[in-house]
Amino acid sequence: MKKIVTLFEIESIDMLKDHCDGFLVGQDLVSTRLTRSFDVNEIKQIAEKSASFNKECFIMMNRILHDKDEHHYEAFIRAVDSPSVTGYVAADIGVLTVLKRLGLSSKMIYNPETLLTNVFDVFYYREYGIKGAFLAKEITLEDIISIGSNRPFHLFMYIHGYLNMFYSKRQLIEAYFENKQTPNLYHNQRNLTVVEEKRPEFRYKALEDEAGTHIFRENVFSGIDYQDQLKNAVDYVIIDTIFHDDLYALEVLKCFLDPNESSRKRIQQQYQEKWDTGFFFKKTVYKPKKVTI
Amino acid sequence: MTELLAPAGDLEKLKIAILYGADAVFIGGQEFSLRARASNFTLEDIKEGARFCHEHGKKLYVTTNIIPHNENMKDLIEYLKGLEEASVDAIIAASPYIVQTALEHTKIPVHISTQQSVVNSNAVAFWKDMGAERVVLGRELDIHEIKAITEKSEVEIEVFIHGGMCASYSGRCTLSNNMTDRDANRGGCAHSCRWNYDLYANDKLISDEKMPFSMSSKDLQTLRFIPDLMDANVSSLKIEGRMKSIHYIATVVRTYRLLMDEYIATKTVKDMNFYEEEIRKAENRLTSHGFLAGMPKAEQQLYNLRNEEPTKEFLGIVIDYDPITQYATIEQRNHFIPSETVEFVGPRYQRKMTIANIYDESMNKLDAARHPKQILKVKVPFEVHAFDMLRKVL
Repeated sequence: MKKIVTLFEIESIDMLKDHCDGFLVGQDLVSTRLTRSFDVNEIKQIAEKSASFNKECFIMMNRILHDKDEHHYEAFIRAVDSPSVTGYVAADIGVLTVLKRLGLSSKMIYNPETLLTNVFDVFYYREYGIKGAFLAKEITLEDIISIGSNRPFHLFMYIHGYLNMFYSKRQLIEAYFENKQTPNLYHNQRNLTVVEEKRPEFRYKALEDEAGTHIFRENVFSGIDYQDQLKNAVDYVIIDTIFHDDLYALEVLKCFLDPNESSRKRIQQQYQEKWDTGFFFKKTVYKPKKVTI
Repeated sequence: MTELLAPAGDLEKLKIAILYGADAVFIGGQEFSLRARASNFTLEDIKEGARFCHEHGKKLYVTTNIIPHNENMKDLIEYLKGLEEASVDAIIAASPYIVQTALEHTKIPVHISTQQSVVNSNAVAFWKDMGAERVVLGRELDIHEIKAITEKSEVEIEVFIHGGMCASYSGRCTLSNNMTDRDANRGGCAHSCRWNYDLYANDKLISDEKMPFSMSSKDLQTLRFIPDLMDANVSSLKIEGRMKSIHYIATVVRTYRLLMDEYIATKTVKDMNFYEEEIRKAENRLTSHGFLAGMPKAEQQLYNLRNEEPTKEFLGIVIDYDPITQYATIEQRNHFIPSETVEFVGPRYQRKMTIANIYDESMNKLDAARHPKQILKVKVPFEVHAFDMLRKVL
């Protein structure tokens, strides 16, 4: 099971390389919710540098594709592709057509965020000759292990980080301030939190970028303690460091190598965040009889 | 010919939708369907619904659009075969496995649900290659993008024209899962996007205490875009709202039907205000055109302005009419009194009158129609029909 980490500074590759198996980077023209957006030259540099250390390099392309943007995707892939690029992580199945056209469908990793929740649908994508797919963040550890025990291609999953739970194309922060008739000073700012009015103890990080508006889970999801169970089911685990820099990545990666209670606690204290296990042990309710809010 | 597609939460609503002008109706079965709170149909109900639709030359689609977990796939083939036996005209699905299973084990055509958030031509082609007959587009497209997709598409394209909207890309939202443990993609959405929130930058409150931050959008209403959508060769125009009342279904379906018919007949719409006034009678919710004119702005969002009080305009529904005595039998829905001016509305007419007297079933004279669902008799000097609506005139 390989550990792939998102990147904040190119220079940090040297610091992180001994603790991970590769990097996941992107550009905001085709990606969203990035730890940092890199330009084409930087991405090429990251891919080459990763390869020189025998590390893998994945390119994030997780914006939802609209026809008018397709040429950006194609131009971007043409510009960054090289043998040093291991794969392209796409959230929209329409990107497969672009990769196919470029003879690169075997580098596609499909990450439809919420949609791959069962073994049957995972198997369906096998016939497209893609490199792999991400499992949804909303399924149990038991389901992950069950799906992974007979996987048709490489399986990926997020194992640590602030995970999004809402992706709107709307510029919701902009619209809110437009309604208030005041300028929006918060576009692409990473210090926003939305707090439930009726349950103010629940706070969620928010981000408005060019792709839209994103709301993240209250706590950091961390499957750090379940590597042993996952190692035979999942090929790649992603440590997403959005809202942090590479020192955080280093701390978390070290913790992966030696997941003890004190280092977990120390990182959470230092970065003022709480870690939880998401839906690993929590089944969401199917067909509720009565809904009250 | 562009299809008008309406929702129905039960058999009565299905019949109303068809009688008021829908070309097709979509419903949820008791398995594999979102909208867990809608009164979903048994297979027997589905059979009856399909029979009613087909007798009227219309179609019936059944949603099987959950994003299933491993354990939800049990009995899928049997269920799909049951739908085939019930003669449904298509299923609406989001899971590739459900799509594939339907195509392999039945002859039911498959429509790809908006839960897949298809907003580009490549994705439409992907689902076409898989065997889908139709793709329901995501709501995040403007009219030019929709036109560009229909021009390239080799399958039918369906577009939402009216009703509630997800603020997120549909299918990509798990606010409900995370905030309430209810699975948005398996019928449990708690509509957390419609809650009020305070917005902070670091520890500083930047939203207004009187106008909290909200992700919620106004409901979709696209009357002014219908001619463009029809000209763009959109195959099906979809109204959302399986949980809505019969009055809502009748009013919304009727309004779009009349507009579409006028545009088909004359290639123009003489008085758009008429249609806008009519559709406002369906419900007291603020509406907007969503993404159809481009990226939504503040005008398309809801900020502490929600008003979901039902309209009081729906007074009753006609159950029967005796042309000899001229008495209409009416099931009451809202308060009305003798001497009140009311309006009877059918699929293709609306006519005002003043109520002289109101009687109960035993012909006892009443001073008011007070009780919901009470059966009443009212003299009506013109012919009315079962399922016509009695409305207040404002």
